[in-house]
Parts: sequence; C-alpha cells; structure tokens
Amino acid sequence: MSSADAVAPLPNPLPRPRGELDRLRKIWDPPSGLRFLTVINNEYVGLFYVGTAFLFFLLAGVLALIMRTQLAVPENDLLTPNTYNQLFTMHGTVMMFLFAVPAVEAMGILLLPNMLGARDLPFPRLSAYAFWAYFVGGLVFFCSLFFNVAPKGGWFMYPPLTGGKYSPGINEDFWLLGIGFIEISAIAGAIEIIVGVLRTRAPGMTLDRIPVFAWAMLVFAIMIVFAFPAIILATVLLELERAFGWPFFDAAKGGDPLLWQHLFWFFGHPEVYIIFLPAAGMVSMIVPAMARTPLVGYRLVVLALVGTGFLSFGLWVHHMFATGIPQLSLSFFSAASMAVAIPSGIQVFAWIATFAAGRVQLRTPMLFVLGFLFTFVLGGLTGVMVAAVPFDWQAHDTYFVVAHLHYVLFGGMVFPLFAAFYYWMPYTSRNALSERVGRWVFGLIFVGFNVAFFPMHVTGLAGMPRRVYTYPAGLGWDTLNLISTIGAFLIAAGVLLFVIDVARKFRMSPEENAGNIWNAGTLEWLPNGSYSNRSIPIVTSREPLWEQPNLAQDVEAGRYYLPGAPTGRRETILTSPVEAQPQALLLMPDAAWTPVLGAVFTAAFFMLLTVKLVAPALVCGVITLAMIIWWLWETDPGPMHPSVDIGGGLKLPVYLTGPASHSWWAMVVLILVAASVYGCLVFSYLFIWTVAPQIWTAIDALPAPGYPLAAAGLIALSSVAIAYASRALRESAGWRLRSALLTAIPLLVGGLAVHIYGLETTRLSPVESSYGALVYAFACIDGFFVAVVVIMALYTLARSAAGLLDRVRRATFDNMMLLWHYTVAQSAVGLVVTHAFPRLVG
Amino acid sequence: MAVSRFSASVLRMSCPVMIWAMHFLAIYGFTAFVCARGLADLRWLGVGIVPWTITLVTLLAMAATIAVILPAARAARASFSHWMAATIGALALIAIVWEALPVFIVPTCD
Repeated sequence: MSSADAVAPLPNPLPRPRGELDRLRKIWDPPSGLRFLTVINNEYVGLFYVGTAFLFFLLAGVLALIMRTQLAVPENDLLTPNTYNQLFTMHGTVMMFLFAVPAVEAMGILLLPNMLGARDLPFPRLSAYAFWAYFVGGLVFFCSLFFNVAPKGGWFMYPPLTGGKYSPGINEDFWLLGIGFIEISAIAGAIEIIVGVLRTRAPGMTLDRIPVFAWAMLVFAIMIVFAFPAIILATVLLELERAFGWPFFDAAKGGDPLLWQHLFWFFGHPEVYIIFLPAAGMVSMIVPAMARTPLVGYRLVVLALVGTGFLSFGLWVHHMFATGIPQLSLSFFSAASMAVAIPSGIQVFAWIATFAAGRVQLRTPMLFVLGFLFTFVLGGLTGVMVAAVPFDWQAHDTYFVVAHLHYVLFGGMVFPLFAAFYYWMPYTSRNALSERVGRWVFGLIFVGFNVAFFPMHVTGLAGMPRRVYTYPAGLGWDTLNLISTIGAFLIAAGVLLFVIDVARKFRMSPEENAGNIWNAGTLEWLPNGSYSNRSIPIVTSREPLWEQPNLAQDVEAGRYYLPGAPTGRRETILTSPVEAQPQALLLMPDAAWTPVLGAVFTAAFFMLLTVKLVAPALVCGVITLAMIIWWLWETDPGPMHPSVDIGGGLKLPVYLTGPASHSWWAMVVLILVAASVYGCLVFSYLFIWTVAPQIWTAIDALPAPGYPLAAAGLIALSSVAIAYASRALRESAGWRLRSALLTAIPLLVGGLAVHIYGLETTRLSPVESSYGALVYAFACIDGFFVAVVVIMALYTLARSAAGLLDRVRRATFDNMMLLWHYTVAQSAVGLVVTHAFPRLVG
Repeated sequence: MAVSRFSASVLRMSCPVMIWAMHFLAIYGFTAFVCARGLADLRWLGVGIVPWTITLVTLLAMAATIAVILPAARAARASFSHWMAATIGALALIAIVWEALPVFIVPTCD
C-alpha cells in the first residue's frame, strides 16, 4: 500500500478494465504517414519547435563564424561592407527572434503539460499553427540572405537609416513583415501557455506548488503579452512610412526617429528577460535535482521571477542613454536598471544556497549551470556598469557592449538551454546524452565563449566600434580580435560535438524514454506516453515524486483521475486557477490539416507582401482565413456527452461557457494584447504631441464635433445590439439573435465610416505630417478590429443558421461578444484621443 | 466562485505593480513634457516644478503601496497570494523610492 493510500483512498480501483489503456493510446497516438505532419501532440510539436529553434541557432552561429573570420585580421576583404551589414543584422535578428524566444517557448510546449499533469496544452492546434508559421516564415526569412535582400539596418532597425530614403529596396521590408508576423506566432504560444498553466494543472497543484519552470513560463508569457505589441505597432508604423510615406519617424514632417527607439526598446529590453526568465526557471528545476534537495527559498524565487518581470518594463531607455534625453529622465532608468539586480540576486543566492543544502552531483547539466552562473553574473556586473550613464556614454556602441550582451544572453540563456538539453533528454529520448562527450562539449563551449568574448571588453574600451566590417592595423585591436575569432571557433567545435552526440544518442520515444535518471521530483518524470500520464495525479507537494512515494506506479496503473478516455476523444481536466480543483473535462481537438495549411498560407501572405506581389498575397490571405474558419467550425462541440465520472465519484461536465471556459480566458489574453498595441499607439500620439507641438492641427481644422459624436453613438448602439443578441440567445430565440447581429454590423461599420468621413472633410492628410499619420493610424487600427469582429459576427450567424448555436452551446457567441465590446471601447478611446484631447489642450 | 477568487488574487498581487508602473510613467512622462516645453524654470519656494511634482507623486505612490502591503502582510502566513502581494509590494516600494531619488541629485533638463 502506498503512502498516498494511507492519507486517502485513490480515486480509481484496480484492476482497470481490459482495453482501457489501448483505447487511450489509440486516441492519443500521432497520425502516421504523410498525415504525421498534422500531429498536434505537445511532445511532437514541442520537439519540432526545439529542433527548428536549434537549427536557427546553428545557422546564426555560422553567420557569426563568417563575421569573426572577417574580423580575425585587420583590413580583411573576405566580405564586402554590404554583405557584412546583412550578416550582423541577420545574426542578431535570427538569434533573438528565431532562436531565443522560440527555443524557450518550445521548451514550454514540450515540458509544461507533463510537468503540470495535463494530457496536453489547452489549444494544441494553435501550437501546431504557431510552429508551422514560424518554421516556414523563418526559413523563407533566412533565405533572403542568399538573394542579397536580407535586412541590413541592424537587429534594432533604427530609422532614418531604415526608412525609405536611406534604405530603398525590400531588404528592410523582409525584417518588418517577416519578424512582425513571427511575433504573432510567439503571441499564440503565449496565450497557450498562460491558459495552460492557469487552467490545466493537476488537481491539488495550488499556486505555491507550481514547478518554478511553469511559474517562469507564466511570467514569460505575460511579458510577451505586454512587450511584443510595442514591436508589432512599431513595425506597422515603419512599414506604413516606407510603403505609403506616412511620416511617423520623419523629423522634417514632425515625426521623430526616437519614437521608434522608444517602441523598439519597450519591447527590446523586456525581451532580454523574456529570454532569461524561462532559462532561470530551467535552472531552478535542474539545481534541486542535481543537489538532491528542494530548492531553497521557493517563494522568494517565484517573487524574483515576478519582480524581474515587472521591473524589466522600466528599463527600456537605458538603451538610449546617448540620444540626448534629459539627464534626470535617464537617471530614472539608470536607477530602475540597478533595482532589477535585487530579484536577479535573490535567484542566484537561492541556487547557491541549494547547492550548500544538498549533495551536488557534478554531471553535465550541472556543469552548464555552473557555467551559466559564472557567465551570467559577469554579464550582470558589466550590466550594472553600463547602467551608470557616464560609463555608458564612453562604452556606447563599442565592443564592450557586444561583450556585455553576449555574457548576458549566451550566459543567461544558451548555457541553461544546453543544461536543459542534457537534463531533459532522457524525458524525450530512449537514451541520455553521453556524459563523457558532454564534459568536452561544456569545456569547449565555456572556454571558447570566454576566449571569444572576454577580450571584447578590452577591445571596446580601446575604442573599437561595433558593426564595422574591418579596421586598420596598429590600433591595438589586432591581437584581441584574433583571440576572439579563435574563441568563436572553439564554441563552434563544442556545438559540433554536441550535434554529433545528439545524432548518436537521440532516439525520440515518449513512451520508452530513458526515464528519471536524475531521480528528480517533478511530474514530467512520471512514466509517459503520447497521452502524457496514464492517470492524472493528485498533487500534495512541490516535488510529488519525492514526497508521494509510489506515485509513479499508481499513476501508471491508472489509480488516479481519468485513467482512460471516457468520452472517446482527447480530453484533459480543467482545474480552477488558484486551488487547482477539477471543474470540467476539456475535450480537445484531433490532428487536422487546417492549422498546418493555415500557417503555411499565413507565411506566404506576409512573404509575398514583402516582395510586393500583392494579388497573390491577397489570395493567400483569403485561403488562410478559409482554413482558420474551417478549423474553428469543428471546435465548440457543445455538451455532446453527459457528465463524466473521472474517479472517486467526481463527476465533471464536458462543456463550459462564459468566464469558466478556457476559450474565454484565451480571448481575454488576446484582448490584453490588443489593448497593449493600442496603448502603444496612444503613447506614440502623446510622444509626438510632446516633442513636436508645431505640427498639431488647429482646433478649427479638426472635423466638426458632430462626426466623432455620431460615430461614438453608432458604435455604442452596436454594442447595445450585441448585448440584446446575448439576451436573445439565453432565450434560444434564433431569429431575434440573428436580427440583432444583422443590426449590429451596419451600426459598427457605419460608426467607423462616419469617423473616417469626418477626417476626409478636413485638410488633414496622413502624408503631410506625423500628426495626420497618427490620426489615420488610429482609424486604420480601429478599421482592422472592426473587420475582424464583423467576420466573427458573420461566422456566428452562420453557426446559428446551421443549428450549432443555442442557449447552452454559446462559447462562439460569447467570444465574439467579448471582442466586439472591446472593439467598441477601443474605438471610443481613439475618438477621445484624436478629437477631445486636441480640444482640451488647445 | 473560482473566477472571482482568482480575480481577487490577481488584483491583490498586481496592485503594487500597477502603482509602480503608474508612478514610473508619471515621473518620466512629466519630466519629459516639462523639458520638451521649456517649463523647468517654474518654481515655488525656490524649488522647481519637477522636484515638487515628483516628490508629491512619490509620496502618494508610497502611501498607496503601503496600503496594499499592510493588510496583505497580516494574512501572508496563511495565504500564498497575500504573501506574494506583500513581498511584491515591498519590492515595488524599494523601486519607487530608488527611482525617484535622482530628482534630488541630478539637474532636471541638462
């Protein structure tokens, strides 16, 4: 008898019915043959994701080697300046956008469901869509290098260099459209992770029992929700400037290039922590397993994750210390940059204390963790140096900064990621990686890294600027550069050895994996299959495998919740967000082509737009929309099955609507993303108003107040109509619902039309001044949301006509209603900003 | 109701963060506006408009954060979300004070 039995009887008796496990396996098995491409199980999609991210790491690494070869000796002519510009831009861009963020997101998709005790993440098709969009779009983006059309304005794309005047051609458009849409993929993953961590945890896994990696991924995903919108808006504005001449960043017309820098770094600095926090979360999982003792200061580490997350949003201007911003303003950001050292320090001390509390096994993952600690702490210290404004002015745009950022990013993310590869390889593969080879891999990478990057501190202090394709001899940079190049090739040797070891040892097998060779305590080390765990455990501690003996056997035997697939479909338990109490059985979709094809055509849409093939792009856009609608048509299944007994007499409903539904949660997160984009636009408007009041239009040049008032009235009435439709649906009155929807659509579209017509009655033009461009940008974004909700309303009408919508089965309507009301509120804010604000401030 | 309980937890934990964010935006935005429009010379009792405003806003933010920390700290032993609210509040309080301090050291618009 297990100790869990001593506390309470387990929910399901033995023996389990014959064929139960086979049915479960059959339902969750991935498709075979060509249809394997449509697989949506997190173990497979997660691995594809990790593999693709690692491929981009290798590709961007090769670019780095070419650059280091160019810089090995002075006055080298291996590369032309134009090629070198493309290489450093692609190296930074690919490492940040196609490797770092997707890699940690991929680890989340791969590990989280098992770590949380779920069968899969709540929107597996969304994961597949995000992966394929990233895979296809990323590869096409990378291939721009081979056609001499890769972006060359640096990974942060500062205008005016990247504006139409100084960068004609399509190079920068590849960055703006390519990266802009890959961020959509990151946001889709973030929504998946937030809802997954909050709603699909094993029963009993309360907030203070969540594994630290899951906490880190939750903070990571929330940061994406608030940080990525800034870069999405920035890329839209710069593309509008390049394509249509709307002068957001053109100083001659009242724009300001600094607006780009603000938007970019409002995303860019949190991005550093978006990359680092999941890596820190991985370290917090590996350290206790290697030290064979629980993490010291669990609560403080969670506090540190949350604290770093929010403080990181107050640091963005520290990338702009040399732009002429007033000293006092710089000092706020300097102080915030130093304050963030507090939560980072908490984590470092917690790891050191855990080493001290346990008996550390010096295995390969541990070596990489120690490498991470050494490197990251050094990078953190130079970070405090460049946070001091006077020092930053000296080191700005020199190789000192290149050294600092690589110590932070390579130290803070790549070392932990390699630790994670070694640590979790037995979770996903039949064999662990070789310990002997692993030591060599670590040694080569660690030594190579420090040989490559430590001298760059000195090179930078000796005055070598970053991003120069060559340099004259005799400035004291020659030997330092040669040493750096030797170091880069040592890193490459280590990575190559790792790839060889992976090729030798990695054999994917969720079901027959090498297993818990570290004797770790968290749920991902339970016996696995394509269905995740045979039964879903009740969790009573932070390290269930250490604290709940016999757990693995009992889970494997099917003694916990949901040992089979009672509805005959893929399913997992939906739990409450705080106490993780079972609330419902979440029915999950099967594999399908629609997410894959939708992703491919989404990528095609953006890439064809980049090369100005507008008509084929529009065709791809329409196909994408069709695929997404087809995909969604099969969701929202309604209460197709009576309540299910998952064990212990616990009967769960199989359908939830309203705020308890997981789709409602996803829509709320999406609305937060939208609100962040709009918030950034409001910031842009106020920024330009602050720095360029001369281009603000006179009050008498604004549209007559009747136009915005009429627009506000119409859109408000559309919301009333939607609220009426909601009430009609409660009474199952199909015709009243449809009439209300058909009334709401023209009201909303009419409101937008009146607003735009009002603008057209004035002399305001989006190409004459940044003020005009901003006012029209508000209208464009409002128009985009109106188009989206109108399509959703038409889709809802179609479902109503097909008999797929009723008083119970109403999740589709509820989600549409949420976004509709949000769109109306957003447009109202836009009207206040663009019409009331100028009148209020004169 | 689980959702409302969750909302209460999220609100409790995010309150100090929102106060910090509003304080940060207020002091940064106000300083930027005053410097851009050349209003830094407005003074009262020999002290400029920026130090006055930042001091006032910082005191308000500190009071609001302490108002969140105190009740949360009392329940921190029994509840994780209260513990988180209290400690995040403490971190936010340090950040608020630390970020406002330069106003007494650094010239406003140089």
